[in-house]
Amino acid sequence: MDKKEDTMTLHTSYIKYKGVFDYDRFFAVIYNWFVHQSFEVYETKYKFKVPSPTGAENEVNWNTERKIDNYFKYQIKMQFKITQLKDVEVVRKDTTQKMSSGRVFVAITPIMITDYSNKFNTPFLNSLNRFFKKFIYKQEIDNVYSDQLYYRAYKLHALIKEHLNMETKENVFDGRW
Amino acid sequence: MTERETVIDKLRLTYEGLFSVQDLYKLIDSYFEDRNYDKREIKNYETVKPEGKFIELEMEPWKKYTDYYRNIIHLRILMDNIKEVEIEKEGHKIRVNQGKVQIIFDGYIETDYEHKWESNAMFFFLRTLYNKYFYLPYTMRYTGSCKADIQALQNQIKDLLNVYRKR
Repeated sequence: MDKKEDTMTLHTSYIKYKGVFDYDRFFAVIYNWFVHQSFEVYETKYKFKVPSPTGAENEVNWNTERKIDNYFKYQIKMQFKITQLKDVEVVRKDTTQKMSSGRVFVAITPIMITDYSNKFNTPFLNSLNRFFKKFIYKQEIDNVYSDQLYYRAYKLHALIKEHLNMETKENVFDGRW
Repeated sequence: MTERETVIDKLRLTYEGLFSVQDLYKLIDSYFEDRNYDKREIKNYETVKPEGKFIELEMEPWKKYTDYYRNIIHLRILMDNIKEVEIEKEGHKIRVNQGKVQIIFDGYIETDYEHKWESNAMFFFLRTLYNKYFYLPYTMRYTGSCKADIQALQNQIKDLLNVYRKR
């Protein structure tokens, strides 16, 4: 289990959308992005509520991990909540498409983990690890590793917005990392 | 705890009429990217209603001046009754949005954001003393810089919205 001092939780971003979207491809698009970025995806929660007059409900939690090297590991926690899910038919460019209507809530939490294999496990090595992170490798941790994870999470954020066809889908920071 | 000084408090910009949501968002994002701010989008809510879309954005980009000072700009953008309309300009049809937009700007200067001067009461006292008396010229310089950044962003947004007003 990762020690609390070795985990660095970066800012969580949230997306809330209410409207028509392609539910069938929603999870596939996000999963493919993780696979393309060499993340391993673990589904820690899947909850589906039987459709009621207001619609179906779906709650999914994903833990995704990527080992960068022997010391650093990236983790992105995803939380999905889809409510009032109903099937609808949409006419676009003279063709009828089957889509879904509902409310989508997504929370993206990037976490950076150092010493994930717990090699610095004695009190002396532990203090050496803290000294290393605080003084020797601080610039690299702040400006390289955590920045890379942070902006990769924003690329995912933009991908989700693009899939939902939100007005603010543009990502000018796409060029960073 | 990090000391946060409010530089600009609830500066509002309101507009109703024709504009492009995508252009506005891109302008704000590009502004922060050009000025080397780090992106932080806290909320991005979009609801489709019969009378139009409702969009709520909350952004808090930041910029580190030194390992002691950091500038934070907090933006809250509320867009209501957003509809897509087609207008004709110089014989060409352009798709733009129509609705209400309200932008609220807040600016802060954060000191000791790495919490180096909080480990004991003596450090905390020294930090307070330095902030109040010795580092005052630096604080004023960064405060001015924060104000200038917000004013420049507000002016750029006004220019963009005025372009659509004239259409």
